[in-house]
Amino acid sequence: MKAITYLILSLLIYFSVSCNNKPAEKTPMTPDKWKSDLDYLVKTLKARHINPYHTASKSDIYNRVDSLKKRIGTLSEHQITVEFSKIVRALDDSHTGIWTSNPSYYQSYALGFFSFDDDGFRVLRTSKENASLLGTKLIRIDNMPISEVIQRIEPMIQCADNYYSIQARLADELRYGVRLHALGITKNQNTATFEFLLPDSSVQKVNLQTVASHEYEPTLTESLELKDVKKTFTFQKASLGTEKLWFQTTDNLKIGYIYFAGYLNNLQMRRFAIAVSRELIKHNTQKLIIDVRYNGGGNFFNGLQLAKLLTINDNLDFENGIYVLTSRYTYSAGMSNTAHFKELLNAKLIGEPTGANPNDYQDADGFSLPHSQMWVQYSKRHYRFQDSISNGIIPDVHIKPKWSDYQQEHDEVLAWVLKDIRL
Amino acid sequence: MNDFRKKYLSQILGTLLFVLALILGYFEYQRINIENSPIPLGDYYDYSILLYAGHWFLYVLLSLVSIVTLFKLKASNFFLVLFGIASLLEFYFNINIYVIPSMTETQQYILLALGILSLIFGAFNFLKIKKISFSEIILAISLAFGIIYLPNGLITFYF
Repeated sequence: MKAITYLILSLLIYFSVSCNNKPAEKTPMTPDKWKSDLDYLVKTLKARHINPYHTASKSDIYNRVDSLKKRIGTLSEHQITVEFSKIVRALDDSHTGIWTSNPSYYQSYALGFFSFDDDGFRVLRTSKENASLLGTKLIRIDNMPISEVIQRIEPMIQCADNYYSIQARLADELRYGVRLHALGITKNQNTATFEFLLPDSSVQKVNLQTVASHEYEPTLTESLELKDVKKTFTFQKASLGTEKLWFQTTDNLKIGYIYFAGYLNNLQMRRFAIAVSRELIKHNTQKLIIDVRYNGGGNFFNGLQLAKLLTINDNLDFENGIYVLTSRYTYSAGMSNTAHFKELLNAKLIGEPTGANPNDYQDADGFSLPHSQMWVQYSKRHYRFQDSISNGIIPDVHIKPKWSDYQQEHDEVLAWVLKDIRL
Repeated sequence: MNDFRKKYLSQILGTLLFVLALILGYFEYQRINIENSPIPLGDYYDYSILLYAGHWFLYVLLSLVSIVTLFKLKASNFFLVLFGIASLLEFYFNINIYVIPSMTETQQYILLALGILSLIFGAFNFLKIKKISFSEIILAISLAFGIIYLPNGLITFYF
């Protein structure tokens, strides 16, 4: 008994000591420390990335590094962060990026934009005080035309793969105060004047102030959404799942709908897949829609559990009855599983091309820079989900997001599928 | 009164638990049973077993608890503790781990209440009457983990 007591006590002491390992404290940065971090970044990416120079040449990256080293003493912390981002972005890799842990870098204006091909950047989400801005078109920030703003932002966006994900990232970057300032777009870090084109062609100027990152989502109370989807399929009506992955059938039980915006762990995913298959068999449901439009990634092997269980379900109409909805936000594992659904389930893809390319570098791992503690993510594998090279997985039916659809809150992609099923 | 307690209390309690296990099992069977289906339901039942095996095992355990209580067997305290720990574990897995729960909310709370009661009896016996040994408790904990993990192991094995 004494031996057991000693063993338990020893284990308790061991774990209490282990838990006291505090992370290294961040000390003030100096130009030399930044340079050291820069060298570490390039050296470690070379060592760990499967092929860091697949698009940019090594000399191009080293020229950028040398150029930054010469200027580093004259730049602020946020400007240096942006310059680091530009170097990583120059690698043009879908899963390689760099992020600072400094919370002020993520302070943002309470605006959510969407980039329309023919209608520019429009406000789709905003705060209650600025509800009148919903749907308006952004034309200038601190007197700088939007075209120039985009030119400045584009070289520093992280983890973009093709035109579609670049548009998604650009729309998102427009809200970050510190970055707009570091890029020389705005005069101040936390305030700026945004100019919008109103429906009557007049211009509205609004002075906005940034909010902390944790306040951003709660502040955005006003939004323009594709409400058709919420009328037909909604988490509140879901019979199974969580907010990021749920299943529902239509009232007549003829059509199943899986909202697949995120991943569960392997066991949870298996249980979900079994439960969905069980429901499909129980109701003899033959048509299935898998909505991966907001699936930004995770572990695609877990997504394969779903594909596997659906594949062995004899009730489904594998000839014409499986649809996968895609968008620019379908990225990483979301794209990979889209390719799997297409191959394994003979699914028809509807919507926009995916934001990630099917033949590309993926499977992220990461490391921290020693002094600034900035987090660097890099690709470890090269996956080939398609025989041909394309910008995103090209859908069978390409439906572009249109401003007019958002005006009417009409989900054209889902409407197309429902019409096709009922024909 | 003491004679009555000694003679019949275990039998009454055992019978009640057995009837409860039968009722819970019957309702659960009704929940998954489909009659006159136009399509083959083989996979449907397979999937039902895989998803809900966790609480079926608990019903079997509850039946065992009721039988050992009814016949006043020596192992009754061991089964009480085993059932108590397994019920609490299944409750925890349902709330915190399974996205697709193995039980309905009502079933969860019935089993939670029965599990807590079993553990109270078990703890009382351990502290006062010493009708259960320390090694039996360790064995019950290990078996409970095994029983609750088993359906998940089956799912992994099946796929």
